[in-house]
Amino acid sequence: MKSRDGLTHSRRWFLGAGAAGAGGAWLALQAPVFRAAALQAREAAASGSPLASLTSHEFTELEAIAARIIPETDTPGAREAGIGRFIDQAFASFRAPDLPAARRGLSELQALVAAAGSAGEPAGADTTDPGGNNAPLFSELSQQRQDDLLSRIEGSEFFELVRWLTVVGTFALPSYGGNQDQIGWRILGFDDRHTWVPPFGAYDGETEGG
Amino acid sequence: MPLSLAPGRHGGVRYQRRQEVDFVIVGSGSAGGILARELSVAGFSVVVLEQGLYRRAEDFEHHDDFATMVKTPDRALTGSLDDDPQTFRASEHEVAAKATGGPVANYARTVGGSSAHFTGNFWRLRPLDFKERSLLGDIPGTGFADWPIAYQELEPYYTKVDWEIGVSGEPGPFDPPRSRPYPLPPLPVKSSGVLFEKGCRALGLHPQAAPMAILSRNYNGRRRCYHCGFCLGFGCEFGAKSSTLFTTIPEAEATGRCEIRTGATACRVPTDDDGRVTGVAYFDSDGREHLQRARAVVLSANGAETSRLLLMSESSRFPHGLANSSGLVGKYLMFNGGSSARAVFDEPLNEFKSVQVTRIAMDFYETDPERGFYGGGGIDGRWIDFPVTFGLGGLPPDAPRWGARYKRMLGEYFNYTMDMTTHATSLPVASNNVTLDPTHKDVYGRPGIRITYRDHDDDLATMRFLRDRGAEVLEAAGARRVWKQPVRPQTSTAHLLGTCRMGDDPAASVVDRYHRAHDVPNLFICDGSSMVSSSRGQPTMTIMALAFRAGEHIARFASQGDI
Repeated sequence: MKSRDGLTHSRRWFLGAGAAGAGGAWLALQAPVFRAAALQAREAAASGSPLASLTSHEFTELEAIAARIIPETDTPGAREAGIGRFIDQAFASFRAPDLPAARRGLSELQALVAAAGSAGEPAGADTTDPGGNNAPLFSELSQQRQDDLLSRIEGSEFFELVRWLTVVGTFALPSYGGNQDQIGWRILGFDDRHTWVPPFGAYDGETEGG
Repeated sequence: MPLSLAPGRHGGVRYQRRQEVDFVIVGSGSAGGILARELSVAGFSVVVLEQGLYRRAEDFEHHDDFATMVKTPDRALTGSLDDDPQTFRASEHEVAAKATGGPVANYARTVGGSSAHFTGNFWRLRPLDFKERSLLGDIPGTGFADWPIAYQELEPYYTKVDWEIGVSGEPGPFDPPRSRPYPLPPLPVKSSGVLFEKGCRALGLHPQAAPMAILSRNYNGRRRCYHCGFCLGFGCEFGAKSSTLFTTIPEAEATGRCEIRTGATACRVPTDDDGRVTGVAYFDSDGREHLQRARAVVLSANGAETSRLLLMSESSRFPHGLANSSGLVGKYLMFNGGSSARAVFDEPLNEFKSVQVTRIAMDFYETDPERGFYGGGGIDGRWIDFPVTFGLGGLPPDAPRWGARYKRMLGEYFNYTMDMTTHATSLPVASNNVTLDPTHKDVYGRPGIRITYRDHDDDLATMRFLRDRGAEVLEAAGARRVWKQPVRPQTSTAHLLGTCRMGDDPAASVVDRYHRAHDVPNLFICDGSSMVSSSRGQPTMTIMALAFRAGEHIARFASQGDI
């Protein structure tokens, strides 16, 4: 069976086999709902299984927003870290009460896109129908236009919800599904180990003579 | 709510619920865990009721800061606000609002209580803390008072904490007298500590090694700290944190006279016709109510939970709640003040490694009338953020909150930032209190904890004063940039102090100097609620010392048939 947290092995290695046996059984006993849901995010992504809470349209739009909150630059960003699946699982479990607000927020954002549509992109949009069905989707806009629109809604309840989910998912334990390959931790420079020895940083290194 | 009742590793005894034991203790934390050992070692039968789980070192997940700091419902040691709602208001004129982002009263629901997830700053009080009212005079509008005991009376028990719980440190220039040296040397200094020392020395202050309830060396059969870096809010996966979970509780179980009964949520302390308590009623994890009968009851559930339980235990004989003839149960709640300044430096500090704090300064501990307000405290150089919380709010307030610049700054700041955190006094004010929420109830139907709190103006002034001194230290240490976090009235706390204060006058206190309730001869209360003044922001060592002292006296009373 797959490791439950991806870190258990190193901890078990350290704590020794006796303690590990009891700990493993204990973890299995308490296995909470949220944890199970989060773990499913990885497995769902890997297997291409259906989304748990979002429509594929909503998934695409929310992932596009997250990808501007922590964008791909010279290093991978939230999208590459698997944030879409994390958000989908969050709305299926511990943030389920916020899903209606998220849907409203997406609609309002799309209305902004449509209202701004007459500004002229992408080519082919129906400029005679600024609020209509032929406006491009947020996810189809250029990064610059996406950023302009997000600047306009920064501070709104919807933006703050998506930001919270994006940041949390990107920097939480990879086993929650949104920090795949430790992409988030590499953005920070956080080194994932269980034990350290001094010197820890440059200044105590000087003191220690190292 | 799935709760498991894992047996203690040391195979503690199991009592029948109908069997009368000598003592029921409510709470297995800093006080309850020590009282359990003291009373069971003294030969008494003890049942400890703990509402949380029995988690051990191997059950604590390394750096799961999402669950720990962001309070996901199922993983947080602090429990679920859905299961047990808390409410907050700033004044008694308001309707309290239900807490949503995190607990108002923040404590761990697990064996070991908050000693399982604390940071481990173990500061003794000084002699002045016990008699500050006499030294400074009355402060109108407050319940500012002396303790009924002096530092000298508590000193032997501080020393017991040092040696029996395990504290690492070395004496500083302003420390109170101690009868024995520290059993363990300080933990290795971090970059934040080196910079803290540099800044303090440049300003003529007196930095010292932080006394920590974390083992710098293997001790008493326990493993030392391996510097994983996740102390604040986390259970220790090495057992190096000096929690009662790793110290007195296994020793209590090993006597064969102490049962740690988990998933047991106390709901009432019933009394008989003579006004004596008969045991503790509680809900098991399936929601069934039971009564554990006992000759005497000890409440060590923390300043919020102990108050709730007493207020819920009203009766015709005790119409305002048990042990509350003074009207002071739940009153004089003290949070301790806290504030911070932050700085970014040129070279990496890598503060995510090792314990949160390695250096402190006590130069501003005493109240200085020249400042124009009551209060004092200590400052420490530390790290308070983890990956998730740093991403959410670790950058300076004027930094971008999303986008490419935000992402780049996270990398430029995460390993280069440190915090100067201040720990300060709170004045006891009667309108700061714990009461029963009239609307919100927990899954068992118990009223939620309602906190009413607004920092006294002197407390806010102290926070600003200490924060500004901290910022000066950071500047003097050569920071590239320093920023001050705003000081605002606090709306949550991990320190729940003063709500059943001790004293000699039954009209002005809830328990006597031996922690016996003035109103009920076989009821004892010992936890943060016993404290008369707030300490300078690090109360846990004092709570443990009080518990050692109370245990000795309660065992003596019980031996003499005086319970």
